[in-house]
Amino acid sequence: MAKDNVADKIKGVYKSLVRVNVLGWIVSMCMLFVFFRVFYLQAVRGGYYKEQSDQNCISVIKIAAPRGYIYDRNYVPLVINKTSYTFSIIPINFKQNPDRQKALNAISAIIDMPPEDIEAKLTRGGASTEFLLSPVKIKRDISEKELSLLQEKKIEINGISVSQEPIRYYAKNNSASHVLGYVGEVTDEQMKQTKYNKVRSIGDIIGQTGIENYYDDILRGEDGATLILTDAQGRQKKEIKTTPPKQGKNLVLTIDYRLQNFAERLLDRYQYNGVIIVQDPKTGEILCMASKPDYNLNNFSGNIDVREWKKLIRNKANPLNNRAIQGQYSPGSIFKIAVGTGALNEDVMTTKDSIFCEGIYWIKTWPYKCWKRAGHGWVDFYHAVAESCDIYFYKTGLKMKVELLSKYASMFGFGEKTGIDIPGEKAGIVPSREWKMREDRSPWFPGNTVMMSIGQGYIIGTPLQIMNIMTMMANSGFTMVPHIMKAVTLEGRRIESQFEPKKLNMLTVKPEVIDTVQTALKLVVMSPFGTAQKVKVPGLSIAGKTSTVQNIHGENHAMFAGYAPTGNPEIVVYVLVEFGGAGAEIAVPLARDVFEFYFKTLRGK
Amino acid sequence: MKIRIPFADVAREYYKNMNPVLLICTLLLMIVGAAAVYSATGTSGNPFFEKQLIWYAAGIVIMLFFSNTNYNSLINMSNYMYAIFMFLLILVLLIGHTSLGATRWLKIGSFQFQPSEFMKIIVPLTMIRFLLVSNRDGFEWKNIFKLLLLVAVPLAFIIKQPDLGTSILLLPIVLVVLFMGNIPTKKLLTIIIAAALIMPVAYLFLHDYQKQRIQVFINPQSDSLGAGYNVIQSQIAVGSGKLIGKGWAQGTQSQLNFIPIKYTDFIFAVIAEEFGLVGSIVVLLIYYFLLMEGLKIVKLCKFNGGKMLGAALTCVLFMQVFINIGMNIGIMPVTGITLPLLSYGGSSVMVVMMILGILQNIYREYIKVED
Repeated sequence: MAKDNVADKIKGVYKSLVRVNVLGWIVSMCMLFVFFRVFYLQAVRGGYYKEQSDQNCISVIKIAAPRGYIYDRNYVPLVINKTSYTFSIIPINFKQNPDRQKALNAISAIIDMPPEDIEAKLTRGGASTEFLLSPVKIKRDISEKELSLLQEKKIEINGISVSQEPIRYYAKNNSASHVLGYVGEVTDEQMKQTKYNKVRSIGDIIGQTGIENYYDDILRGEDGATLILTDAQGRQKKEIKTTPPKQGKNLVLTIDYRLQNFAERLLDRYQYNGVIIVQDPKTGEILCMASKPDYNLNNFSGNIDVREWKKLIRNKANPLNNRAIQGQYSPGSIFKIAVGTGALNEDVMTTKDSIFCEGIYWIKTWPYKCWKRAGHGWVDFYHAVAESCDIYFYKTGLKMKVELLSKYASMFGFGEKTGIDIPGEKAGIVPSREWKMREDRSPWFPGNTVMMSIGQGYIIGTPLQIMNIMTMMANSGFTMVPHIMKAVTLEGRRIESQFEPKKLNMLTVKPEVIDTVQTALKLVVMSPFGTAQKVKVPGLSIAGKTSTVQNIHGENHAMFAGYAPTGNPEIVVYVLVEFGGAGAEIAVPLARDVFEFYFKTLRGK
Repeated sequence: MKIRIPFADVAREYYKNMNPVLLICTLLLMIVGAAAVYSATGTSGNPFFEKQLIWYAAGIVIMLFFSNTNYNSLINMSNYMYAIFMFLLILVLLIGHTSLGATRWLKIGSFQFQPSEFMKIIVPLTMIRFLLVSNRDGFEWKNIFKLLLLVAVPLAFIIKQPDLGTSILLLPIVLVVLFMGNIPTKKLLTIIIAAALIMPVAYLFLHDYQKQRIQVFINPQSDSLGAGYNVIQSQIAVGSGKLIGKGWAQGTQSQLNFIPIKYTDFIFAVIAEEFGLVGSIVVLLIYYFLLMEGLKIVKLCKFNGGKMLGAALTCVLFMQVFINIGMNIGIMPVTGITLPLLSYGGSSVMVVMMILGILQNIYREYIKVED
């Protein structure tokens, strides 16, 4: 009994020793597990959690960078900045108002904005925005009166913040509005686009149209920031660091403001809707791009005036449209240059061949009239161009067929964007048999060819493309990529980079063909029968071509494209007057004024 | 290593033969705890820090007291203590002080007292007494049921409070007492399996906020600003400490109040953030040495009662360390279990010092016998 007891006891002691060891192992394993976890959190994922903790306690308050200035080619400032006051609400402070609705109503009464809209702006980034410390912009460019009223309310209402901010000031109001473009708050859709990667937060201002949009990344500059240490309740503890904003770079445009202004006033004088473009053919620089009607850019900086905006949107003439690159028109008789070039080059015609114009041309039972009802009689190539005989080109076009017409249309740049540095450019259309079958589900008729051969019907292009027909002739066989931006400059007119001129299209034809066409274009102006005699400026040799474009909406569009001086062309001028009537009557005198202003006033010849 | 205290000669009997490792670990934890509480509760006009120092001082006295009280006498009188504390638990239910939705405290003047904390010691004592008295028949099923009933009654009251933290601790205590009482392995396994089967049922009886804590533990992102907030923020704090930490009183997570109740439940996150992996390892090592020394004392002890008691108390310390740090680093659900000696709080410090005192006593009794 006693022995058993002793043996049991020994067994028991041994057993308990083993069991203590078991406990020891359990403890060790658990502690090791804890160690691994701590090691993982601190040593492996430490960087990630450090970032998380920084995000927790550092609030970033952005300081918007002033945008760069925009000058014309002679450093005339077109777009600069001015100081404005922006009214913002700091959500976390605003939350502390005992009666939110009352506070919203009070603010609403001051800034003339419905309380729902203010609420919508506050909660735009989701529910968690109400804990935000950084101000949410409610209204930009508030008036002096609003400013003083808001300052008063600051005492009653928590979370009101008014800050100084640079906004855009367009020194010349309406001038070149389509080229320059306006700025505005980034939209939700734009936030998703990679182009605006650098734009991070809601309420940022970006260029929305024109140069402002195209060169947004250059103009925008780098926003500054104030880093503020904040506790879990959102109380600001201290300012850690302030990075000042960096103003965007300046742009010098190829636009000559004097010419631009002259062209705009010219259109204004007769209250014409239309386009005047002046280009340096050798470099592609756009000296002037006027599109009427236009709008005052200053209506878009700061707050967009809703009434003003609605007026613009409802206007049937569509002032927001940049007709020079977004309007698509039949090129009309100017297109005969392309047809003639093609016909001569493909030996469909020679300069010696003459065609009899009796004022009307029949295809089966369809009559196709010449603009001169009495007919031109026998016309050769030079006369056909100079007098703009339609019958000559009907017959020539029919011989060439649509394939060749399309080929030369494309060669002159139709159907493809020119690549000008303004967003929203249209490409125009070069029709073909396949194109018509696809778009219209009908075969190509000879009548279509007839229409196309005088630049009517399906072929359309932007004024810029139509002008490029003339540029092609001015340059004797090539066009340049048209551009508005001349250089990027830093402070003190230091040039950072310059636009490198690039060739756009090449005319691969026999050289004598170009000579012939150029001679014909000179005759348009010089010949006593020419359609553009009124463009003549004493002491200047000008070549060009008129166009009278029929359209279903009303009166014909009047066009003229020309270049001067003929020996060594300096500028190409294009004029479009919508619903103006005959090109020779309406567009040509305007072009004459432009040529005269450029060569007499600007160049002093 | 011997600690010299001014009135040493008189009191030598009271502190001689202390276990040195246990003692050093205790003092180190107090230093770390004081530093952490100081940092966690702000630096100016800091009542928490001063109070914590007072708790430490009182704790040392209590530890000395218990290291001089024979643990066998504690076991002997455990039935009285059990009766008294059961009465107190009932009292808590009737007139207890409610804070944060839980009724756990008795208020005596300005002093708050949490009886359930002490059940961590009284329950194992009572169980051990029962096992020693019933001796060899201890592990008949009939007896085991009685034993479990003995635990179940206070457990029910504690769950009712609710004090999930203490309730969770009681279960492993019971298992360790049985384990060290040399219960046959089969029976122990049967009990563990039975307990595992009851668990899901028990879940249904949990309060909503407790269920939520467990759900949040499984997926903290499900409610990152609400219940999951603590879990996420404390992990961010720990992780962002990286290797060497942000510096004492420099932790952004703790200083800027991103960690809630940082000076009690999440004190480890504060230390880990401010002292980095280095600090974490130091804390883990101190605890590891402490726990291993506790188990060494269990090994040394020749008596079943002492073995069971020592193991149970070491188990209490271990569970608190594991669960508390676990919830700081996202491997345990959030329960209100404090980190021994580091967390701020009187009851917590007192109970831990009591446990350490008893462990010291078990060691000293062994030395006495050896001598």
